[in-house]
Amino acid sequence: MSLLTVKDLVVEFKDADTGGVNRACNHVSLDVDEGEIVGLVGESGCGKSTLGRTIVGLEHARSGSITFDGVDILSLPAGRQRQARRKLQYIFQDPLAALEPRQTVGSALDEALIIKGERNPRARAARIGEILVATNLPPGILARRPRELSGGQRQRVCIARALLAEPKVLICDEPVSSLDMSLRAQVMNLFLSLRDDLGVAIILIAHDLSIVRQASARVNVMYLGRIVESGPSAALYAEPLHPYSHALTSAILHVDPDIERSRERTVLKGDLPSPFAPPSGCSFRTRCPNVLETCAQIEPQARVEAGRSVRCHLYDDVETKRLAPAY
Amino acid sequence: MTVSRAEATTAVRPADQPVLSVRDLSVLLFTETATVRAVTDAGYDVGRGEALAIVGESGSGKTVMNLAPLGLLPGGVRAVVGGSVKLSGEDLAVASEERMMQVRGRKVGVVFQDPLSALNPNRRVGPQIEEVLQLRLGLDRNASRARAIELLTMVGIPEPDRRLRLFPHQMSGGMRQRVMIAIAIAGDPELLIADEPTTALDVTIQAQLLELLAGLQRQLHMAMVLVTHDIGVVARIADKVAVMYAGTIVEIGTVRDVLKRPRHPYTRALLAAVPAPDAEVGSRFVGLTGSPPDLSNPPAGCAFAPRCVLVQPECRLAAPRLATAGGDHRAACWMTTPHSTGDQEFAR
Repeated sequence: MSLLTVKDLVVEFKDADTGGVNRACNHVSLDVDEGEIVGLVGESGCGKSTLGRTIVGLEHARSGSITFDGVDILSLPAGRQRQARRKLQYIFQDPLAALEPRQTVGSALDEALIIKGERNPRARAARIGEILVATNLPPGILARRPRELSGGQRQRVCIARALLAEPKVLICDEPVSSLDMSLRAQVMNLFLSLRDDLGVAIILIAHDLSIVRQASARVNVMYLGRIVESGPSAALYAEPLHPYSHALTSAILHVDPDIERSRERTVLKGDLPSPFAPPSGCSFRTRCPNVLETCAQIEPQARVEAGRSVRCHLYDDVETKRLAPAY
Repeated sequence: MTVSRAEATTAVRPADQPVLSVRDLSVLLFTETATVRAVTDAGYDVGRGEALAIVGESGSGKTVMNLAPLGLLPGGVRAVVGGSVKLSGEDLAVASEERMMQVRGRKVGVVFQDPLSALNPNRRVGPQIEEVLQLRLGLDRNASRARAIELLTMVGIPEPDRRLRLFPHQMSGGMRQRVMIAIAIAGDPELLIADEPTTALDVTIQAQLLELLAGLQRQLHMAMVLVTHDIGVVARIADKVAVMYAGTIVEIGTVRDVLKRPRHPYTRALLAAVPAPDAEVGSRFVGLTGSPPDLSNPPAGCAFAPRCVLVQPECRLAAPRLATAGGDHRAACWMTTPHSTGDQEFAR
């Protein structure tokens, strides 16, 4: 059984002014195994952050289940859910906003251990020392405040603080998008070592597709509240099945000008529809270069084969045992 | 829609005189607490129909280098700008403020990263475009309305009549950026200044806007200076590229020279930091250690030395100047591009 299983999760937001409903997660299912890095990609409003936030309890689920470490979290009384989620930790995009500006790094880490119930100051100091080593931070950083740190160091402090809870899953929401390209490696490599050394599983939520590809064993692509495709990342990027995944991977630019300028690039027409009024049938149909007549009428169901899954009518009549691009 | 940019490889031959010629550009910025040397001794040319990309990371001075020569730094920024700036041969360093306003209105179009900050939120989009047309081109009301519709069509906005009646907040981010581009090209400019024009947008919308911008630039034979942090954007649409580090151009040349045969260790590091499309899943990421220097207190010698893999003791003594690495390809590095005689014109 997976370490974390999300099944048929529905999360809705109501617009107080219009009464409209945005179904940010529409029957979303997701598995994360121990020590696995799972990618979650999509554009703004697709529901990827909502999914992450709902898993850790920052948003309320309307229906569906979240099973973590054998415990069906949403069936627990509210008071016990928090305890059951202790080993699920969230890393925010903006480390500066996640840290208290006047608090030194040392005091922030110490506080996290006090909250955890560690009363012995010497044990706390020892634990903090270990965490600094694990996150590759110099001891001198303990006396400093967030503003005095580089962007990469700040994000590693946030990760260090999350690690004090000995999490089994880290949910990282755009963890490197506020960092310059040359500084992203230090944070991404930290995630890879935490996975290798501590067996931490990671849900990596990001819009930077090439970073997700390199870090994640499996990737999920979201569009307007639905996971439209999932599969092993190497296969999904090499041969995307869903036309939306195809457009996303086609948007990755190559740094070799000869390759970049000679390749065919798929550019989608139009804007993302409002999540408050998604199109009927398949929600991607308004921008899909391969749209069929049925797409407006019937919402496609997930078709699963050999570890890959796709939600698209192009695959309704495909008979092979191995899915291959049908557009 | 499938787009190939193969035609872009045959670069348009610029006319003899560059549209924009910048020499010895230095910019000092005065903040509340410090004086920052944001740009030091920068020089570059952009010809008609040519796109120069400026790449670098946060704080490298790339945006200041793009905006300062044309007096486009935001109001309230206290700065001293030195050096020579020529727009189609006219020396802007000696131009009056009135003349600069004229030049900016008629010869230069600007696209910023965030269109919301550049558009007036309280006015409908139509009058904002039409006002520009009336002021810059002297069109009357009917003519400016007709031209506004034409411009929105050019930037790919469907149902332009209806969109002109919308307020900026009623549009998506991508649509607002299209409106900004429409305003930028309204005066038929010779030069387009673009500052991270697609950074704030979603990836599929970025793809649309990038193709639009590149298409218009070539169709209208504009010179373009484009600031970006994304090397893929450079590879796709630029002809030349300048790499900025700590306020100086550390490498400049054609896109093919700089991206395929990078000389400066910083350029090499930037390229290596972009995950390869065929990198093994789970393999380690490549990046740089350390941080860029504090430009209110710049180090002696090469500013990149503390982070450089090739650093030698002499690098910390004197800053290298741009030297030729063959033709117009120049790099500022003692180790990879030793100075020879006769290549000092740009480096002065």
